[in-house]
Amino acid sequence: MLWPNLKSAIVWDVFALTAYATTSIIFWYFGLIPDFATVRDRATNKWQRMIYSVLAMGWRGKANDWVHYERAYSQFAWIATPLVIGMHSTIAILAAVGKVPGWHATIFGPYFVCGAIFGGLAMALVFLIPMRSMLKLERYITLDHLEKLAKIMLLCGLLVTYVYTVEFFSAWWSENTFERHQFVYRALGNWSFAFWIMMTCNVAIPQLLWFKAVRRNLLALMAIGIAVNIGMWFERFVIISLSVMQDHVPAAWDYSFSFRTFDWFILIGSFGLFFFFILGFVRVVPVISIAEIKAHLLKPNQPKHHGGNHE
Amino acid sequence: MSKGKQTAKATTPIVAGYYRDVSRFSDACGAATAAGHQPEAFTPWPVHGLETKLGIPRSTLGRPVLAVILVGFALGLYLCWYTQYQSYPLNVGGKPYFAWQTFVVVIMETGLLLGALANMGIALHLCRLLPDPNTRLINDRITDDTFALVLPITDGKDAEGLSAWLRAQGAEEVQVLGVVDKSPAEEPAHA
Repeated sequence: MLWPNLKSAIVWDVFALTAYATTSIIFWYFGLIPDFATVRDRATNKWQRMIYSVLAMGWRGKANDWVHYERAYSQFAWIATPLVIGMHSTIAILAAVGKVPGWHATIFGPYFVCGAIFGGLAMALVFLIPMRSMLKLERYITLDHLEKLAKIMLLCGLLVTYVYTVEFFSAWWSENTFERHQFVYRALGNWSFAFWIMMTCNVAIPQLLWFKAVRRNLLALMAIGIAVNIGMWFERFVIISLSVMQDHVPAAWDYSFSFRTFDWFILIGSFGLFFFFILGFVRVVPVISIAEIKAHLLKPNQPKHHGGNHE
Repeated sequence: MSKGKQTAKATTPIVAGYYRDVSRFSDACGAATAAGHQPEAFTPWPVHGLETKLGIPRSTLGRPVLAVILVGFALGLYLCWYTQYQSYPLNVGGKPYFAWQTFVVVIMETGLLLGALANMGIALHLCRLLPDPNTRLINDRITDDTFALVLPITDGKDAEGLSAWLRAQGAEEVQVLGVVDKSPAEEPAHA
């Protein structure tokens, strides 16, 4: 019997993605169980009650159950952390083991992990800012929270900037003709606009986050979040497409990438799928953890705070 | 205090005391354990420190999950060894058929995936959680803003005595459930 080649990074990626997706989904669901119980007990409609009752798995809030629940929740975090790093660095290895100029770099593992956190935080800001206003969550998702997100985003932006610099330095220092050519092509070739959009959105614009006034300005944060998302899209485009456009086969260099109808379908379709799931989630599931927020805001023996007005 | 609909049928006769103030509730739990009432507590969110007052031991979830992760690592290693070395040795560029370094990702991911599934499964088992379309609590507000301290009516104790004790411990409302000879099981016997 012939087996998949487990020495191949493509097969590693299957394992990494499967483990990461499965763990993320059950972690997410497990965290919602007490909140599903809260919704179940507030439901006014018979069917709603039945559906949330099944989802809540008979949760009753017994003190013994909370002890197991909290332990399991923290263990999920311990298990998920190496999975996050494993998933993103495995995808990076998938590219790095290839001999394509622009991919063959040992820095790819941490590069992709930083990039994922950077893009993820930007996406979180882009969603949180309108959502907290539309769902009236200003008391729970405060400006302080958003400012902290912005600070982590700035840190990730600096790490990504460092990686971009190291990539150019390595290409020059390696004295490898193809590697050097690839990076000159990125910055000055016929697709250089993609590279410069990436640099503007991921390197220049996030520097505005050094200023407190910007970090506490919702519109500015939203705009920076959108810019970083665009920048991260172009980063993947630059890494994947530009690298294979000018690789070891100069005969293929004349064939440039063109964005065709099906590419548009895939792009629009992936946006559609994403918005379908996120908006469906917002519609039927508590968007912030009810139990955790109550535990935090209503701690005994401390002045009544109730989230306060941090604005 | 507004109350949820009372529909639960308690199998063992119980007296439930309801609290809105978490400090008072927490103190009452400690007092109930000290008085030997075998209390059970229900809370809308995890109240830290309550486990000490109720004598609830540390969760036993850690070691079984760790064991599953380690077994998962071993299974991942076995999968790699069996498929790449034993069953169908595949020569890739003259490299060794079996070199553990090549299989680190597969081994790690297999172990952690099984660990995550075990973490979920064992936690659900320990909490006795299963999908149930007709869950009914003794009081719907337990998942909202009300804490319940439940005392079983065992031999030698009576509902009135326990109700009075709960009220003395600051319960804002007391309810007797499942006392068949005194009131119908579904009667919301507000004290």
